[in-house]
Amino acid sequence: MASFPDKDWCVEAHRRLISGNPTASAELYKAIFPPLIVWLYVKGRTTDKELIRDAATDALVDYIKNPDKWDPKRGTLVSYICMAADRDLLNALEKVQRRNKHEVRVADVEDEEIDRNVIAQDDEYSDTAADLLPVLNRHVASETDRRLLTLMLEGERSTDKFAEVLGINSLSKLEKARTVKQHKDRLKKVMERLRSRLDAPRK
Amino acid sequence: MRLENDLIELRAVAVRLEGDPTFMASALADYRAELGLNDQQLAKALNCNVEALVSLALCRTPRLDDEKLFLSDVQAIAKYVGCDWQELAKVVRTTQSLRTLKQFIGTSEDQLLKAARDKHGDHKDPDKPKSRKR
Repeated sequence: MASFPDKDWCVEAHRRLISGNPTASAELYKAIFPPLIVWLYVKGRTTDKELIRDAATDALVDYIKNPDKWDPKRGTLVSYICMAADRDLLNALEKVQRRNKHEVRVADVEDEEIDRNVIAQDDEYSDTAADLLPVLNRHVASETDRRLLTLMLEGERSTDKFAEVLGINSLSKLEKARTVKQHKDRLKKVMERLRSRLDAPRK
Repeated sequence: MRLENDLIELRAVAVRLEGDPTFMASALADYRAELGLNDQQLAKALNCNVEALVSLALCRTPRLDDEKLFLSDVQAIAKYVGCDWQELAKVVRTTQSLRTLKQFIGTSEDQLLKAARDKHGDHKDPDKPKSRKR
């Protein structure tokens, strides 16, 4: 298994890098990159080769371009680069997760009928119905909003049920779905505000 | 086996650094593209083996603003990777000239447009709608 260079070697390479030696970057890459890749694998955040390679590359490039960022008093060069690579990898993984979520949502919009998609996003709210419903009833003045919120919190999936409360059943299917979505988005914000005020735990 | 794997990983890094002018990877990629060379041909031109190109790509680009520093950087890199320093200097200078030329072409277009606007005095009153009168 590849092992990291020792502390003295790193200090010397750092000195060469700072002094402008053009080969110091290659020496650092050759000595640190292979064990860094192994270290990231062993850490077990992901098995995605590309993400690991990118994180290791970014951490090393960042150090090579800004060697002054490393403070030798605060730790070894290897631990500094490892931490930076791990942080980059975590950020990359979060980005991938966000993108995947977005792709699922886009696929929903493309593949399913719009009303089904609108309702599907509200599953999370039904979980906390028992906790939130009495509180919401006290804080929401409009009877229509209260009824809409009740439907949302009960996990109701039919656009027609919401349209009935709003009195817009005569609209076209698309218009109905759009209007229902607008109201639900508005009420989601109300719920979020109340949640943070009450510090109600989300499931 | 490990060395082979390391070389594969480092080659992937070198490819990734091709877009970053801080590293020689960028100059090598530009030179290869401009002259239509493959790795073997480039290695032959530099009088080194193909594996050495990876080490070369990971080196920092020589400092171009000072002739003495440029020469010492090129010679240090050439010694490190085992290639012909004069050929290496030629590669770096050629790619630098090409980049400058491309930059110059891009800038001159912008400057020309700016000069044309200035001539009509449009900059004097930014609130005034742009006139197309001739």
